[in-house]
Amino acid sequence: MKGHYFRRQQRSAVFVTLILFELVLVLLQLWLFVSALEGSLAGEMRMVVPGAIVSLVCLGVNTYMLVGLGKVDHES
Amino acid sequence: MDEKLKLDFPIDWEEDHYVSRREFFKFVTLASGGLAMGSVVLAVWSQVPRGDRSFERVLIARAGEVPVGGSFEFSYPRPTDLCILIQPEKGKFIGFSRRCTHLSCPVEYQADQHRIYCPCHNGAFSLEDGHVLQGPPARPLPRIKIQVEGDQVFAMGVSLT
Repeated sequence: MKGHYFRRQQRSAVFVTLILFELVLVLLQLWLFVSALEGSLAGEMRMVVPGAIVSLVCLGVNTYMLVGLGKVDHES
Repeated sequence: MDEKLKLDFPIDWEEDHYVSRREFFKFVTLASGGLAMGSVVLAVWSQVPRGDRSFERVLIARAGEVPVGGSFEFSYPRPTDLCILIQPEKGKFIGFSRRCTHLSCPVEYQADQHRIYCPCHNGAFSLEDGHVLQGPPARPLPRIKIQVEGDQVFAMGVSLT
């Protein structure tokens, strides 16, 4: 009973950490997008393609976390 | 009437407005997907070549209409695309778009300072190739390709670089 309680509490902590991490990644994506847009409007294209690649990597990590979260729920 | 409706269709508003952590996670992932797609679209758009664009050759002025050390206004390639033709010295014609690349204010030729000036926000462009000399504009002024044949001055296209 006690172990079950702690597992549940731990899952909650993991969930909140994942949400915070995801928020950080989304803010990073937002910053990349705005910087790339500003740069491209000013005729500076160097940052656009690397920005898009990093943004796609962030999306991959976020999707992986979402899928992983579903698996954790199925297992518990 | 209102009470009857509430009885017939009971809605627990608190439950209805409750957003679980999982739903929030999904929403943030969706936002992440939107930003990633936006970045990809921007990257694809940035690969589209932008340089010289040729348009129909149009007679824009007679050489005598443009004063030496002065300017002449015309539209090219569309009637709404305002441009400026400058003759800094006799027989030398330079054409630029009149729209400032900052906020589209009409620019003007300053003969005494040998530059093109935007009075709205104190921006200035080089007379040689339209690059920014001062002020907030980030991009150079689009240059109009000019051809002179005898007394006639023609516009041939637009150069964005």
